[in-house]
Amino acid sequence: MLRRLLDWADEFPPGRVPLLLLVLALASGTAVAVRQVRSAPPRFSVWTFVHLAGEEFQQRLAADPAHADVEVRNLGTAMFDRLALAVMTRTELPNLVEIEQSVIGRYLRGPVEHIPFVDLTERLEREGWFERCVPARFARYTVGGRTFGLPHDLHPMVLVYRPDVLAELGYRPEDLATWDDWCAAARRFYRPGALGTRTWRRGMPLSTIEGYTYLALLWQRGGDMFDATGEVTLDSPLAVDTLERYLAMLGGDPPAAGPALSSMIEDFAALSRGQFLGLLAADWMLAVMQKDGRTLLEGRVQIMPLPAWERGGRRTTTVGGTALCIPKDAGPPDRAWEIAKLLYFDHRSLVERFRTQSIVPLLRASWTDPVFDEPAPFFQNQRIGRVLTELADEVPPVHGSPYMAEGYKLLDAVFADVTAGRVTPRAALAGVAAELRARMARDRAAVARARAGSAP
Amino acid sequence: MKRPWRGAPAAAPWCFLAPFLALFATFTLYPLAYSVYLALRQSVGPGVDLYVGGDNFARLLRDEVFWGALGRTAYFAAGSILGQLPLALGLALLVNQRRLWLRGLWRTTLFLPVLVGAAFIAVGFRLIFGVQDGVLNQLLGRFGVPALDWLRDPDVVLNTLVLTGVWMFTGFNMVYFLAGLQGIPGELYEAAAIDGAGPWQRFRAVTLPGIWPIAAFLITASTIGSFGLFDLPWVLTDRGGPGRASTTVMVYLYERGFLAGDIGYAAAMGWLVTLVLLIIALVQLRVTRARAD
Repeated sequence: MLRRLLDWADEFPPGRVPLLLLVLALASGTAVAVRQVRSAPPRFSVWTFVHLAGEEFQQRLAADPAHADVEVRNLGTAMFDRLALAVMTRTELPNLVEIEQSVIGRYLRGPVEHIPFVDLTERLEREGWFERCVPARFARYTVGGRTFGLPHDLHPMVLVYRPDVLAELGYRPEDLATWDDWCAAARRFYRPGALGTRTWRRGMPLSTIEGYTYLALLWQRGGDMFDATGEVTLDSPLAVDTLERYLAMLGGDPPAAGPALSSMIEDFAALSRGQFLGLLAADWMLAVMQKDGRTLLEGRVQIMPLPAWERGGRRTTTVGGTALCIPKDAGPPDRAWEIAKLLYFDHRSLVERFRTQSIVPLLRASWTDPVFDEPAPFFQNQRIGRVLTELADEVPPVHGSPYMAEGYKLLDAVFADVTAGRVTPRAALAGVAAELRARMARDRAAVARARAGSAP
Repeated sequence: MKRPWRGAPAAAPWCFLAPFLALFATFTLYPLAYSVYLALRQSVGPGVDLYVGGDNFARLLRDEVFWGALGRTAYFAAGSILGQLPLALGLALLVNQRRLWLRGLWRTTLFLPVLVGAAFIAVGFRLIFGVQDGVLNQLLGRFGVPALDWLRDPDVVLNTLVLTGVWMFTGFNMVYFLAGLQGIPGELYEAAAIDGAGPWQRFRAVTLPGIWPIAAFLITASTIGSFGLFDLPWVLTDRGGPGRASTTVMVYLYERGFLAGDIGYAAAMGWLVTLVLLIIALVQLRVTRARAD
């Protein structure tokens, strides 16, 4: 038998060895293919891009045998592109996916009926989640009046300051109720000097090259890049005036603010040296500060509500956020909805999230937990949880739009020119708004053509 | 005896080529063809997809941001070639010296940066390029040089990328030059020395012609590599900032294709960049051939 096989192989024109290689290639290829088929995908998959969230989800689900078949995957920021491809090809979609607020718009394009996520509006209304949470936070994930994401976080923004430096200047935190008050204190605090030296002093760092701090302050004032109907409002008089006041802080004589440094660590170091009077920080940044700025700032800083734009006005704003979305084509959404609520609204998880990441939950009922009254040694035993939750209802809405990421990028693209005085705030914002409107108009025309069933 | 492989000689090459052809068709030809298809379409979300003909290309030709990004990418490519190649050649000449102490260690150390991912390098270099506490500004400050905002000054940031690129890839290019230097027969140097040629003349008459094919290859490879620059500006300068000051063509392509979801426009951009690269490569080929002749 073997002899016949060898004879047969000898007859193979290129020879016995190439035949062996061919057989091996075919056999290994078949083995790989069979293995792929046998290793069936998990019955239920959850994707996230945050390492800490991935671990937390895994622990929470592992505690419940009913969810033994759920696989949590942390894909890092590459997850967003992978999700985009999965949505395009309708393959390998997760059952539940955690998405960052600034990029969610890319999945919300086109007619509402084609949005690849399950519309959660009715479930949220039916189960009373809009009332049980801070409703403003849902705006970011709402397009055309329909909500496609379940958020868990508030991310109120506060001012981190050194009480000793403020006292030396003759101020108490309650004296700084408005930005005008703040600017007056910051101007007294000011010392000239070039970057890179230890002599300069500025009120606080404001970005001169990116628009996110400006947008946060615009939200605090009630403005936004888009309105609730999705139309562009970045060139509104309020937006222009806020940018002018932002520039006045940076460029007054003396200035009330200075350019943000190259990294958060440099900002922390400058605050620790008494070169900044304060820093703007959302709740999650307080955790970053406690981790990365421990040696610089531990036991030396406190937080206070932001000064308002007008006396008695809103004392906070917001930066950042994530939501859980349910891809439409990944199967029946009911179980995904239940797991989403478990992961995002489970009381123990919310408390743990505040303890480890300083994230203030959206769910009102959770704010009564004692964890929010615990003194924080890093912040001179201040009860920072209570300061943050007391600001919760003031967190402004940020309206969602499929064009949000593009809007941020277009604003960033002109921001350095605005702060350098090469273009006026009015012209810059009008330019960004016009570009956004042009892109929206082109897309709307395409949708209209598609609906009419005609090509150009 | 019956011949089991009768008729096989004609089919045999195809049998062996079949796996490659199948993979090539699946992973190269099909994506290329599909990107042409995409470049002729406009999509709005997953539900709307229309044929728009050459509209994406026409818009691209009028897009100032694209041409700005292309210009910055060309600047990076030129800066990289002018910065990296002479330095790489100098280092190759140095580590080619037999009498150099710890020669192997030098070679390895200089080659190491290319093994580190650009994203990790970008994170590390943020500490070096920090405006207030960065190592570089601290060092320059000792010599009375005022602090530069390496990562946030629009007039400086592209040069910061070039500098980082030089640090990353000089060692890699050095290895190619080293291989070229070791391929030059020693007899040529001996003959030149006998003819009375000094070190500079030997370098000009023997070394340079000997390594010219390598240099020509590296110029082309560096140009193509530079046009693919993405991760450094994405991580080191916050997605091509400040403003558009370090937005390369690949950063802009990603921005339009993946952040804005305009896949058709991004595909058109990819093809236009391919065309530009093809023209550059052809010009380089002509110049290097003319020089070799």
